Amino acid sequence: MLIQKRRSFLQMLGAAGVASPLALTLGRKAQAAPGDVKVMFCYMPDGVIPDLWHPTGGTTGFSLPEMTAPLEPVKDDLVFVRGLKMYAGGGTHEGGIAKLLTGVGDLSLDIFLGEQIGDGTPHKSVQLGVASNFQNGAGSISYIGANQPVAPDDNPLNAFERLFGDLGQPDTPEPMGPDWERLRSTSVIDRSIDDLERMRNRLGMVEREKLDIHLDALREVEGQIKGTLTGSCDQVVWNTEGFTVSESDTYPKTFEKEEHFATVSKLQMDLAVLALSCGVTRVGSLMWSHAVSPTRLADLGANAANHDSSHYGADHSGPLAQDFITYKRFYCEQLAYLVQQMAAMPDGDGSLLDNTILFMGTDINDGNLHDHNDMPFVLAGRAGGQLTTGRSLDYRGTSGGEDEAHTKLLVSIANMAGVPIDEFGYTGHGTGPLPGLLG
Amino acid sequence: MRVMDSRATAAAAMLVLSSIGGCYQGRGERDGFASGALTAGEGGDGETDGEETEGIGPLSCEQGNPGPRVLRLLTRREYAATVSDLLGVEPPPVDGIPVEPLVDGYNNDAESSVVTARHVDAYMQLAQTVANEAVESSAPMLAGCMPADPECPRLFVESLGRRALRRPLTGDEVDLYVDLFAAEATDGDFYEGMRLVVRSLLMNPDLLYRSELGESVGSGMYRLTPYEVASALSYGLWGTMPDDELLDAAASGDLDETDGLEAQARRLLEHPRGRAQLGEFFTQWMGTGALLLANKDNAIYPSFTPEIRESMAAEQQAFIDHVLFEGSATLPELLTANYVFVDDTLASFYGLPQPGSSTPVRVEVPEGSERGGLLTLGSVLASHAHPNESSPVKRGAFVRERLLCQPLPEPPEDVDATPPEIDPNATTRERFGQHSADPACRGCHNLIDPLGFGFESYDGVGAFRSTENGLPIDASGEVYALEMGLAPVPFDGPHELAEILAGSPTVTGCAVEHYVRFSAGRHLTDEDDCTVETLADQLADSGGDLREMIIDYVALDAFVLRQE
Repeated sequence: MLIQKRRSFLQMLGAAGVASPLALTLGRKAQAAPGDVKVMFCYMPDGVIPDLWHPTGGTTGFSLPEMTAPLEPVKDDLVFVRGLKMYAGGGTHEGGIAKLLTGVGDLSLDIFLGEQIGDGTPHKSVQLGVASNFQNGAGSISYIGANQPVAPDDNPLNAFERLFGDLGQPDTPEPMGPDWERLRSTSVIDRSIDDLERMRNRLGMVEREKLDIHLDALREVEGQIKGTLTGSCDQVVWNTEGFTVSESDTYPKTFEKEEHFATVSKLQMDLAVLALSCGVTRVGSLMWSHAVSPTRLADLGANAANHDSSHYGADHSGPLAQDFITYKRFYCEQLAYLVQQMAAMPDGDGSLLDNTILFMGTDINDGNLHDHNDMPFVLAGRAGGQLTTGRSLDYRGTSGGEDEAHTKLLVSIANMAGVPIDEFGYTGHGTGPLPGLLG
Repeated sequence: MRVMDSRATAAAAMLVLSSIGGCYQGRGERDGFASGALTAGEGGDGETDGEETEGIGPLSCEQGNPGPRVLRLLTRREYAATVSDLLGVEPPPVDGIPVEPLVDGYNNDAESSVVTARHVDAYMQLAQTVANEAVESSAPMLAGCMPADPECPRLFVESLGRRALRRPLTGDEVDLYVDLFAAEATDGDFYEGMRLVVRSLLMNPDLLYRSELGESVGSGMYRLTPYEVASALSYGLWGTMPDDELLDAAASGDLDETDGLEAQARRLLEHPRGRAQLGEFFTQWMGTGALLLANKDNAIYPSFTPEIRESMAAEQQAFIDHVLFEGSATLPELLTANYVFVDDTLASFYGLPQPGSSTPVRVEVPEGSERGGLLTLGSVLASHAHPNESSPVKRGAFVRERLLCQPLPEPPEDVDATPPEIDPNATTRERFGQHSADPACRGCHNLIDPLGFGFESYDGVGAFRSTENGLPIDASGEVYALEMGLAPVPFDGPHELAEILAGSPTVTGCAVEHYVRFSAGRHLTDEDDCTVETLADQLADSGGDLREMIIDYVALDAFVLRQE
């Protein structure tokens, strides 16, 4: 009974007093092989203070200033990239977040790669967020078509259900008789696919792209229901915190509350690590808050909300700048945790981190200036040995005297994922991957 | 040739201003009404004027511009209402469905809203829960026949299907849905068959989308079927599925005639659902949808409680409802009403005597009062402000974009957009004075700030203030470029601004434009000038009655036509 089981599973998760780790043994075979390169995109809001973000020193042996200092424990697993500009498209926060992963093309790279390499997995790509929809008037990083954003799932319990619900069957004896709910869901999804195909045939080329997106979505869920696409894990341990969502929290919802921001962040990162390592998907994204972020993390000692602090003024030691530093350090701590979890997760002959290319970006460069020059990007993971980490790269002025285009980095990420494209979005500063990044 | 319409006027005004004031033309088009408006003064070229359209005759500009053939995914609000009306259950929670993209401030944008896997998952779960609930609570009524009757599955599919898909099912479709009763998954149980039908219908693309595409009438034109007209009326005026009376009107041919269509439109508009839908329109138009959610600094604004937010939202709905249905339904009354709708909580917040009511009731305000009209609604003022202070920029931009339909370019790249630092010895106005002092800012900010300064008597949560940091408030301002060729109009405070706006054809055209944008679910283009201009003209002729404008809109040929 798929969905009913899923629901009871959720109730189990949500039951008060569940403090023990959720451990499940999963037995199905994966179609995504361990060792395949996985891709993860992370987003943090509202730019940085450049002087306090970028490493100083050489390509190797660099040191980290105040904002990125929390990345010190994992810096050998990272590549800092500066001097890339997000050319063309819209300006300020909204323009920046829209082109971060699209390069002013139609699709974002997470969706595109999901379509390219996600066929063998239950979820082509998975978009997660931490309060990323809460008071969001500035948009998403993910686009499934031109001007068609994909909103991340901010509810970690719901996301877990979607990703592991059909796998998450405890080790109990198989119930006697047919799995009625699976049969029913199968009937419904079959009917839905047929209904959609009939509409699609009826309309000819009218709204074809929209209906294709819809059909792909139905096919993906069909695969999950029928179990034709599954992941594989020895063990899923998640939500040891016993985090629950209260129905009485209507606004903000429990998972949107600022006091739970760090907890939800951890749950979503843990979930991403599980999903990638279990072959539930090969492409994930995680948005921490959103552009023009209203998040105020009082627990960290910040007084101003994230965006308010991002306009830190001329004084790097003023109270706004101090708050902004606090937020950036927090996001770097999150990234460090994610990298460490990936490093600790076995995958193929190495670790998940060995087989992943992870990107972290933001919507603007300097919080004061709202500009798209010299973007503060960070890469992590070795992409199956393709990427040499522990480096700091500077591309300022390297493209005919101008900053290099960030879309070349997007091309490189796609290439590392085994997708041999030569351009992705903007090509005004040439095509091909980012020179000097690989080998 | 057509006279220059309001959109073109607005565009021309921007051009005039950009050349005089130096407000550069934006590098990137932002989401907004910016298409072409800053780069061309001609407005629409009226391509549909006099164009031969076989089958339906030439369509003149006065009949409006038929929109494209698009599928419109129901918003979560529309989906919940539809499920509720279809099955007689409470509106289901729709939090699991991904939030709609906002385009031009509206959440029903046809192009941007698509079904992702997470949508499908949420629809599946919701449908399962709702089907169980509906069949458990009212199976006999829903079925309309006895399970023992071998024809019952067919009767049930035909009757529920017609309401769910908003049209009669084809014979094939009926067969396919009847087959669900015989599916292995039902194990021969009739009620399980009902549940499968309900679940499948709630996932059917003809339910999930408004598929008002029409049938070809030649020359690239398509006319909506009567059932599609019913759907267009119902979702446009109610935000939910058609009721039986409307479906019957479609079946009987009543909707084929303008009279019949108008009669149904009037019925829908007067209905409580029609009032709620207009409230929804105003909320999205005025940008007050986030009022209940807006992030405000509790330390600075301890009086801005959840109750105040609720009261402000209720005030807006009550005020709109009153003006449109008990009042004159005109923009001047909306802008310059000499009364407010407050409950006791909000009355105290506004500094008015408590009316002794926990729901909003009408209270007259004296001449020169701090309140009255759209511009002084707490909802509007609090929504267009910062968490910790007022915002001349946000409020000026609100007037410019939402009331004048004059889109503003983005700030130039690399400009230091840092707001002036909080200064306990200065007013907000003094701090923002740099914009008008700095030539790099002045060109554009002359369009914005002098409008926004007019609201400085209201703090970041919409409370009145006569001083700030011990200094007197200066709420004088100027409206630049209200109409083409018009010199800047000085004003003092929102009441004088409201008087100016109430008499402006630009504002009238803008109101029409926003309503059409909301109704059409798409970004308007120059092609839509015909629709907007026609309605604005009719609105002027009717003495500004906005309800008549809505009836005029659905009576346009464009309402029932689509084009390739």
